[in-house]
Amino acid sequence: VRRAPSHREIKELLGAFALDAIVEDERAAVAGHVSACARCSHEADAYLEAAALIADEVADPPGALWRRIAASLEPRPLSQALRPDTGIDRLP
Amino acid sequence: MEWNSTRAISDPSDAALVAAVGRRNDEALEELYRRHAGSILGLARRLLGERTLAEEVVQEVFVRLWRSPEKFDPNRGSLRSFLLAQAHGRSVDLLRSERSRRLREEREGLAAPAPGYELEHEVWRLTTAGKVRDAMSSLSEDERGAIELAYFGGYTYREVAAILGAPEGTIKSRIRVGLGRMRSSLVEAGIEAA
Repeated sequence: VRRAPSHREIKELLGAFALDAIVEDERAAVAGHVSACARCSHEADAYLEAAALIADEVADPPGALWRRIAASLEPRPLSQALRPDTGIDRLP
Repeated sequence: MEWNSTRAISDPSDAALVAAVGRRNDEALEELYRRHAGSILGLARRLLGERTLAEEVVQEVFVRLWRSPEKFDPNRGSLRSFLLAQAHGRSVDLLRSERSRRLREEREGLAAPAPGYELEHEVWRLTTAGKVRDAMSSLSEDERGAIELAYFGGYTYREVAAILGAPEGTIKSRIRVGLGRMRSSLVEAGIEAA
């Protein structure tokens, strides 16, 4: 059985954690620590913001993909009451 | 309060739109799609290398936001980084299962080694493909290489260490220091609160 990583070891992993670049057996330990430690959680959130900066390849989001998404959404409670269907008829 | 016109819906903050999604307002979700789906699709496509799977990732991310909008906490960061992080995690999972399947098949002689799968080439592709963002210009070449391999290549820090022939501790630290530097340049530029 591996011993649990120390706070310092976890801190060293936070950058890789934010990039989903840690190995599977470390992920649970880091996630558990981050959910309990405000400082590490704050640090990991900051790295996520930094990572979002480089993911800037913006293409026009396709309308066809939105229509597929809209068709797969559970209907609003109101339309559920009025129309016992899958919500597909809400599409234009 | 619900929005009635498409004009009014282009103004609210992401957080207000997520709150509206919580009230089952699908127009709010559509506006969030217009704002963020392009980046999410771009990231998933860059990681996965093909469009169909990348679109499935985008769909999963938005369906999840529809089902559980309360998972987004505006005090912790932007919606954009929240959605991108989900898309990234999902894409990396898909990529890793595909890589391990391919490795297994190669080992069992079911498939020839994938053509062009050379680490040096991979490093070159990843480090030259993206345009260098302002925030990345503050990084050393070493930091940038490690971050790009991890983020766009979907490699673990251990794999990045093997690819670059550097110790694992060095790679962990390059990623962390580099991300921290990018974050500081953001704060200095006044784009984000500290």
